[in-house]
Amino acid sequence: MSNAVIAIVILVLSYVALFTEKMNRAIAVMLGASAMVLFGVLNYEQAVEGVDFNTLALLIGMMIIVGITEKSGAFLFAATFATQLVKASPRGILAVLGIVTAVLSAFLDNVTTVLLIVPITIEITRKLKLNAYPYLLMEIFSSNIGGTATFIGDPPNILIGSALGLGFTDFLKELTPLVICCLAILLLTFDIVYGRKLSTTEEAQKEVMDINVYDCITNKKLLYKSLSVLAITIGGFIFFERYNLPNGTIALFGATLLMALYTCGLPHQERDTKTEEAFSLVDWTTIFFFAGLFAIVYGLEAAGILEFLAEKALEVVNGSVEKAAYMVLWTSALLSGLIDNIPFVATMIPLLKKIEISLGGREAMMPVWWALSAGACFGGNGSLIAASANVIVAGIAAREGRAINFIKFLLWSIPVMLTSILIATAYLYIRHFM
Amino acid sequence: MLNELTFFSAQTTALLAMGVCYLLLFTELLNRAVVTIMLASGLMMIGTISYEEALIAIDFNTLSLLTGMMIIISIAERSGMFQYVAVWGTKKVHANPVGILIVLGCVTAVFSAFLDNVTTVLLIVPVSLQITQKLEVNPYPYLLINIFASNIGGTATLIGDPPNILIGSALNLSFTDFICNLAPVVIIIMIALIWLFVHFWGPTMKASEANRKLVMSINEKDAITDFKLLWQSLIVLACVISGFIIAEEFGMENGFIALAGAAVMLLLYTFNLPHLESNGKVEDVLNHVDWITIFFFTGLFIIVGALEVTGFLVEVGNYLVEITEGSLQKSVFAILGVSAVFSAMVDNIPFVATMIPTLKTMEESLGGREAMMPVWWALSLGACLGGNGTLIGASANVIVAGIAAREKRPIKFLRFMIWSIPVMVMSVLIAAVFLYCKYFL
Repeated sequence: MSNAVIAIVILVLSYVALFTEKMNRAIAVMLGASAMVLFGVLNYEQAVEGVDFNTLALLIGMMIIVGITEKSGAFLFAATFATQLVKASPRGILAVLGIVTAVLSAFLDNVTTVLLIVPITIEITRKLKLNAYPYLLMEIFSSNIGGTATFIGDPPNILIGSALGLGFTDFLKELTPLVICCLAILLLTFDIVYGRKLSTTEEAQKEVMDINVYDCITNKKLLYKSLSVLAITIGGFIFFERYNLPNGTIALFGATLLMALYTCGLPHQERDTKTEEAFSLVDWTTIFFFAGLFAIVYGLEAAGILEFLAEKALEVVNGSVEKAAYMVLWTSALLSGLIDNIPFVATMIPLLKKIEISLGGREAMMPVWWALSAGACFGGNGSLIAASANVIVAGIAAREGRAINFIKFLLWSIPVMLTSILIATAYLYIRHFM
Repeated sequence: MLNELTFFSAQTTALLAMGVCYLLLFTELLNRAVVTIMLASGLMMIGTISYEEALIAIDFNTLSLLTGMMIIISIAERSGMFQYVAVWGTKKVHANPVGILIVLGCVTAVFSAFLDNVTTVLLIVPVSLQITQKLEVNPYPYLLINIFASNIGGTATLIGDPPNILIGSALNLSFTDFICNLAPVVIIIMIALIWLFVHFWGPTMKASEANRKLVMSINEKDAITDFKLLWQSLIVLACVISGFIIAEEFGMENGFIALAGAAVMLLLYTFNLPHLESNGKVEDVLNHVDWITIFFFTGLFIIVGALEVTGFLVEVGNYLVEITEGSLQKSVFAILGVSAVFSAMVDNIPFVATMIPTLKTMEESLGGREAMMPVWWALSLGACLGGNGTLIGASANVIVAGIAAREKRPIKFLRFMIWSIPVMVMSVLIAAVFLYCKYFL
């Protein structure tokens, strides 16, 4: 059997294992990657070469920083503060929680964002005797949309940014305007459909206003430490762009700096235990998932399959960047609506890299890359299983007795996804092809 | 990059970083993973070493091997198989205190040849304490032999001790290379150690009939918490170790075999469980990997890499060739002695990590890889056996002292030296004689 056939079989088997959720996703890709080496599609050095360690370092570093920051109560403070800013009016809260979710998810990963914001939301809506459903929907959608705005907001962006050596500001310049547009329309729609009809009692509002926001901060010292480290890290991303230093290095530096600050002055044993705990804040399943996935995709590349697909893709788009951009945008949105977007993006990156030269080089092809990012991230809104954040919100909601129904969710999710993709299409057209 | 902002040359900066690294590790002001990662990313930020050079400097084979073995062992240990072996051994010698001393010493040595030393003592020390308590004998000699045997036994195989993993990975040595070259001397040292202990402690050890009966009544099968897992982990462990042995023929890296084994182990461990439960178990196992060690290694590789790319290690290598006058024999004994003394005082991992690229630069002047092998074995023996020198010489020692203190049987730093220094000197002398007989006679 030729390498290409073996590689395809391994890929299909591991993706089937992933999507049917027969086994943990880290195990599925680790077995797939091992099979690639065992059957000689790759040797071990190639497998290691295929792993994008910058992505891993960036994920690990940011997970540690965010995990420690969370312990200070900073995010709870932000959400409560915002709620009181709009005087606890149901309509205002809908808008403000949407914005807070979007902003947080631009800097944290989406799962962390909803894990932080959903419990607060449920508590506030319970106090105000409101239906939590529109709030939860809003949070799902804005977490996926907000994450698109920055380099570190969503795994597809980290993958793309790291593979192309893009800077933090590249994403801000290109994607943030688009995200703001989409978010504004989302907020407006929700305000018209839900916001204006929501009402609550004076008493309940007063109860929410009486919460002391400063009580949310559990550890003031840690808050200052973690906010400074967050600022240093993001400042570092921007500062080091011109030196071509991959962001993963800076994220790991920030993470160790925060760990040092977090544990300084403690006795030896306690310090090591706390450091160990900080390392446990990292979602290692995701890290192993990424590592294995990189190796599998590299196996496809080594077996020449991506080359073949790239040629086919070139034929279809006829050498036109514009066609390629729209095609990538819509395909990635539709596919990410059905399946996990990470394996998809990881496979698309080397494939698109292969057609770069025929489409006129890196610069000329940038619209296609932005289309991939927007499509993959926005597509996450397509169904309840399209993104991990959606699954998590549904899980928490179900535990709180406010289950989100798969079909009922589609009533909102499909229009939201289509609208955002249409806006993205228009945005790409106006910005790059008009 | 930012080099224009630093006042020193790249080489001085790298050296400074290594100095600070040793200082912080020695004073233990910060966690060791934090120390090396912070310094390594700092070096990359100021451009002493580039991202690409750093990736080359990191030995991913070592990292995979460590991670894979940690995953496998952390699942295997949940089956209770290691405690089972210890209790079984104790009953085989009819709970005779001297016999138990010998058995626990041997079991520790064998385990630590395949597990890392810290895991070994974490498994064996509680069992030792439990048995000595039941026998009402002084646990001190048992704890001592646990420490010494874990450091000595780890020297025997490729995966027994981090210095061996580092050396084996850097030189592409095989599992059998280590067994053939190091296991004989380890066995001799173990026999000497046990003789020493039996001679000095044996006469004072007495246990009453009743207490011995109590120990004999422990059912070793109770130690096994999960029979299915026991078989699964035994099979995976056997496959992985035979994989190490046959892998050389296929040119497959040990790190790959360990990681693939870990994936299979995880699959068996979570097979057919509901989705959420299996995710929870995988997360738990992955959190049990000693990430501090993994990151400590990663950072260290980069710092050593900076010393290497700035040309410092070549200079040290040349200097070493000069003082040993290019004599292989002199180098072997110098390396053995220096690394033993060094690792008795500080962590042996940074020392070995620095020595490896340095020694590689000397290869040519000493007659190539083949001719230089005795030097590499000396490095391994010195670094591993040196860990017995003081209570802080190896992590396993610190851990045993920690458990003992919690059980109100503290091990004192100075009192420990009464035994540790003779043991270390004896074992290094045996190693020296062994190397002399094998290579220079």
